[in-house]
Amino acid sequence: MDEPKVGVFLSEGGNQSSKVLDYDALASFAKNVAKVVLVERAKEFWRGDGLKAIVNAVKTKKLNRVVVAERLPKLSEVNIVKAVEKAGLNPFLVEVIDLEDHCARPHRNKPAEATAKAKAMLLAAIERAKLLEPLEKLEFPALKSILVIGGGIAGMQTAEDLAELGFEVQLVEKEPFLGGLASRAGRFFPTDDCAICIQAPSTDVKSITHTSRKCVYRSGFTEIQNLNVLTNSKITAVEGVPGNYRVTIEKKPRYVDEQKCIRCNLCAEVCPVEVPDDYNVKLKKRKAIYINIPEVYPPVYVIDEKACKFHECEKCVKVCPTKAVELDQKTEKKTLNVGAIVVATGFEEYDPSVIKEYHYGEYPDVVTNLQLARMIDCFGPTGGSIIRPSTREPAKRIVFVQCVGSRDRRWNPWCSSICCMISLKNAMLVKSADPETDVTICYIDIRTTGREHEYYYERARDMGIKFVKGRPTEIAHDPEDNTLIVDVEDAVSRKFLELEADLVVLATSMVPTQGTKELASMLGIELEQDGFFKEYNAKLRPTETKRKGIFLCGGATFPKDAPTSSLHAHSAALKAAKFLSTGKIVKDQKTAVIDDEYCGDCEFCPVTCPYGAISLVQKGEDHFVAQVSELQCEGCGICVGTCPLNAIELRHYRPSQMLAQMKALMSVNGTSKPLILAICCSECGHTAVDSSGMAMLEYPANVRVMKVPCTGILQIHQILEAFKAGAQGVMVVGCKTDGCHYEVGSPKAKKKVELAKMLLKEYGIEPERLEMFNLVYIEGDKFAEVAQTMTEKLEKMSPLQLSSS
Amino acid sequence: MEKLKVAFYWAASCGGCEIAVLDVNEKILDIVAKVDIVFWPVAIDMKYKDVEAMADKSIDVCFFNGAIRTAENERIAKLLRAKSKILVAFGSCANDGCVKGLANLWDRKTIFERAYLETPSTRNPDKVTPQTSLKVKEGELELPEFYDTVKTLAQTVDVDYFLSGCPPPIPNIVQAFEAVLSGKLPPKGSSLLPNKSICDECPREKMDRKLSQIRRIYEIEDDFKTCFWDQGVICMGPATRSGCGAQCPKVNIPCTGCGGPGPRVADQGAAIVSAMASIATDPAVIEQVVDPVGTFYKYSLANSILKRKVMK
Repeated sequence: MDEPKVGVFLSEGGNQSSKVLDYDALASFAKNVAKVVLVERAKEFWRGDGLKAIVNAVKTKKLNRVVVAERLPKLSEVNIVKAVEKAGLNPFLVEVIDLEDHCARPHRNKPAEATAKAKAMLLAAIERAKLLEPLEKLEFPALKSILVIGGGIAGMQTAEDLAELGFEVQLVEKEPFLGGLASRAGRFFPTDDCAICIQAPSTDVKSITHTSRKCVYRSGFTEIQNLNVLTNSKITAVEGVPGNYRVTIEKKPRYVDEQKCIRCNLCAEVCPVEVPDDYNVKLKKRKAIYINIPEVYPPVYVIDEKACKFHECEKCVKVCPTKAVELDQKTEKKTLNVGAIVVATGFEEYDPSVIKEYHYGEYPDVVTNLQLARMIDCFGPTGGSIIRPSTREPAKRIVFVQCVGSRDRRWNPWCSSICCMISLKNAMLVKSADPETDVTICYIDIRTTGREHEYYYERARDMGIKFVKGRPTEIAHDPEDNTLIVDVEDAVSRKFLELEADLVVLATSMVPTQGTKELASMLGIELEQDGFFKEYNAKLRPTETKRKGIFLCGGATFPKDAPTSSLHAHSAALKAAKFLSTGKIVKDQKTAVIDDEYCGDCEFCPVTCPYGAISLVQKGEDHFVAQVSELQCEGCGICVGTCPLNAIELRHYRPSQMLAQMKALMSVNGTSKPLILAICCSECGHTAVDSSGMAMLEYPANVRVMKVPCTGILQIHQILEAFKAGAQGVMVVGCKTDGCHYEVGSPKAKKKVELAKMLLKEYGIEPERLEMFNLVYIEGDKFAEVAQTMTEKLEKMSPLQLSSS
Repeated sequence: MEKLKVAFYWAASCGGCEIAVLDVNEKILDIVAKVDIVFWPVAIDMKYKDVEAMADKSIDVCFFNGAIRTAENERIAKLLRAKSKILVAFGSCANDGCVKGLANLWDRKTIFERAYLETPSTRNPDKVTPQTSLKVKEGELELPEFYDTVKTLAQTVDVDYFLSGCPPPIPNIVQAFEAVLSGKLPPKGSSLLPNKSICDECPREKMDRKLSQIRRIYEIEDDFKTCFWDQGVICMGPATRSGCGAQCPKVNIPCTGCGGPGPRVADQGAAIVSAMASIATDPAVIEQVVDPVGTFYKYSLANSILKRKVMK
């Protein structure tokens, strides 16, 4: 690296800056800093002639470091960096600071103090700039192929979108047939249309118009180009990196040749084995060779390998007219290389048998909403009749129980959000089929938040469906007349009711599908406390995860109704397509780097990385060192803040760069107040400082701001160094602990600050000299307030004098 | 060939480092065959004036153990620096201040008051505390000045090499002798220990690294194979220079940090606390720390960023 030649560009264009700051003093101060070869002043430097001046100086004066004091650095930096790069200088050798919002505005009534602070800020930027190093742009190849896990409504939708956009799509479904939970629901609210109805793919030339809808079975879905459907398959391993994941899939044998089966049903007729039918939630039995309902995809029978007697029997083999049954098929292992993965594993009904007072599984006439939906479906176990499973007689008195296992801390604390509507839908379908049926819904709150949903509820009331506000305490069974009795206190009439019923329907909670945990660990993505997949950010990145190239959609993140699942699926498809569209992943090198020489293999950093970017590699016999994947690293520095050997550094925030900056900020006071170092994260912390300036709020000029990527990078020794460098107080300003942009950085910083306070106390330093503040961007007022109160607090203390040399 | 002239000295130390030199066992014979020990107060009857009489740089290598606690420690450190070609900070006291450095939580006054006046076993009706000089009828008696602050050797004089540990690991002592004898020494200022941390040498298995509570060693049923951190026990290993072969964790005692901070680390205590905070899953962990300085700075307070408690 060449000897630094720093050019300093002072923009005087800020409204307050020009009035408050003494630019002559600043310019002569900057000129005298070592390695500064040029100081220029102009109205503005981020566009027009100012920008040309920078470019010109870089070219003619051979500047290799550029420091610009400019308004709105977050906007102007983009222009300046681009221009400098065009002029041939590495864009990472530019440092832009904001003397307007960070200095002139908040200290406008104390011009001398503001100028002194501006000097410290300039010096800090220059010292940091001197130590900056050129960084490269990194490019990683990305395959234009995508794996979609889960063939329900969301998975099918996302797969279709992506395939039609030209990506090679593999859709993997663990069940033998596509459709997922939605296909078993019979009908969807609030339109009451068929659950298996989907938009016909555009490749379906036979569809009447481009808006035609068809059932899954007739849609030609699997004939979409670039789309390969693997049913009866599950993911067993995921390796590799974003852009090139290697996924191992186990495809269980169907034992029926997909090409030969003509769905004549002769095999099922002769099959002697009967087992409970899971598809119909055990309401009926099915054969060991079976098909769920006639309208399924793929339209091919399958053998239940747990039930079939195989070669002991072979009746189906003998009867099959096309010789489609192949009892010797084996499990196939496939390896797929894909650039991205979309998880669409959905949700399922919670098993309510754990709730003893409802006696599910004990009383046959206590069923779930899904079981009722299967009865309503004319392809279902009862051919569309609503019966009592105990006697198979028609059910004339039906009581729905809402929030079974939901909104109940004993089981699942969350509201599953769709069960109210499901019960309303089922209740109305029952009522409209037979208006004589007595239908009651016991609820805590009826939640009809979607469009049209409240009308749907009103319609149910108009139809004569009764509503009781109360959570039933017990479902009893009178064996004498085989009647169920639902004990419930009606909060509206304030009466204790004993509702008699032929059939009780439990609106059970919705929970993640089985295997969610295993899949999450294979993919290296996190689950929320409720066990559903955790999205990167509910507002900004609802279908992304912290692992690049792994996306989520549909009920995998939380129970959703069909319209929302579908919307979510389109969104995930778009994100995945964007990720792979260019066939490469480009990112800058502002990453962490681990020095092999010093890494001691304590293995603390890998677990602290929110992105799973750190892995261990063998180095010599029996020795391991941590290694950062540049592709996955987001540059937050949380690993840096963890490493007890300082073996990890961020290339753009080296400890040496930060220390130089910190010392510079503390080197000039110019106020009568105690110096405070405010270590602010570049996300909410630093922008809260911006916003306090923009809002023209005042706070004292002894508060000096140092930007770090995330407060998670903070190391306690930096706090001690700050005190040693002359700080009388240290503020750590980060995002809210539950709103950290890097997820875990801010809460980690909070713990570090607490521990550091404990150490400070031991050192005889008032722990109150150190505080952490968790702000969001718009809380500029809070920043100004805490800067003020912190200053006042420190003024009351006797000055800190460290005797160490 | 002329024999190498070697000196050993102990300043504020416990004597363990002296024993460690002898712990090289039969190797000592090889060493003694090749070196002349010109000064070793614990073993050889020589006086300071004999050292003062030596020519500058006439000692080839001086292994200096002990911290700088008194004026005498400082004087001899400076003397041996002048007389030695190579000065090695030997052992934790000379390197990091060691347990003696913990006295930096107090100062001379409070230490004297405690030691000479307040302890229950003390009878000192005249309230006498050590003085640097005292006139008696036989003449003037002198004691070296007791400083407020314990310093490391490198904070007092220029040090060529560092060999930490309490005491330094025997194989590294042997290696150090061999390096000196063969003249194959690393660049000045280097440590003669590896650059890694204890974990690199520790056979214990690292598990999920999620610290949900802190437990004292007697509160766990050690399975003799899982890393202490994964059992909730504070171990200084991750923040401590290796070389000892993880002696303590191998015999089921967590590392207490005698190897001192890693090569890039300015503050061993701050380093382990930052790491600990980063893997803590529950903020309540913080309250479970007992005796923070004694735990995290047992050996390195004098060689930390702030070095001592603020003096009032």
